[in-house]
Amino acid sequence: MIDPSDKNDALEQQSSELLYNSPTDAHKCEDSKMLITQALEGVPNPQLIQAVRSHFGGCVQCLSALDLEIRFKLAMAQRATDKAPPSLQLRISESLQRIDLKDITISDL
Amino acid sequence: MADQAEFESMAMPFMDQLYSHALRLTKNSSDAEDLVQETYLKGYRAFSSFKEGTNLRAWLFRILTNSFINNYRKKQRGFEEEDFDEIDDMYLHRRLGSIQNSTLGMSAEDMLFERLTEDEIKDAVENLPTQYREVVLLADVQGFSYKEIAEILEIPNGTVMSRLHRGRAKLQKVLLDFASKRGLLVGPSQMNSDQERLPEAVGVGGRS
Repeated sequence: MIDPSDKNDALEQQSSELLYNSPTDAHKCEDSKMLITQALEGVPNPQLIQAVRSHFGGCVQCLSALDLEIRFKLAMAQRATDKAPPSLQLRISESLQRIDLKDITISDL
Repeated sequence: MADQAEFESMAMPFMDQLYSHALRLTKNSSDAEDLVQETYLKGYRAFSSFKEGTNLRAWLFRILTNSFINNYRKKQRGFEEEDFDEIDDMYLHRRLGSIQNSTLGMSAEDMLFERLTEDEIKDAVENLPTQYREVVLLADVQGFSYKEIAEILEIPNGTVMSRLHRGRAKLQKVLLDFASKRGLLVGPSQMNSDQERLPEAVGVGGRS
């Protein structure tokens, strides 16, 4: 069940306002966490990251925090992954052919 | 029943991602293979209810997550809704910033992530409490949006954000502690003083 008080929408709107309606010199370090979180959602968007970078202007601490989070996310995406063993696909295909519907409960879907 | 060939052509391209996610959750390859197989069986069974044009990948991850919760997570020792001390969101940045000037050429964060091995990163992830691990994996490894994660895990968006911030902070702290203890970040003199200040690293080591 998704909470109707969708904080993410508010976060997104707030981020957009900060990024696109505020001059660079209006950057406040306390906003950086929210902006970094927004910039790195899903598959990071280079344009959004650049907008955040521009917004941070010359704030070395916030730029550094952004770079760190980007590197962290890249490291996770590239180095915390594994490939399935080649035999698994065959095993799944075979099991689909002899699927026993009785073993499946609707609560898992 | 859906056509098996059609289902496989649409769903099998996600097998590596599902397996990788399952392996980080179950922490062993045998359980991970079983979990992925179960996911595909359930997905195939329910494929007629899948709405074309919606996100098949997220749908499969949701099935995998529910299967994991129902069949594996409860069996895992220490699954209780673990909590950990609050960690400053900027903790890693601040610590890295303090040692950045002492390094040669590369920034501290470059060295941290380049010098840690893949197994060390995986171990650190697997030692996160499950509720944080799930969110960090879906966000940072699988690249799902926060809204998709909320739907996959069936939790409010605010909970996704909270767990993500805390999970990332915890993971980064563990990685940095581990790198520091191994002397990966700083010279010997600074390493010694840094070690004295560090709390115990949490369960990160080489994979056996």
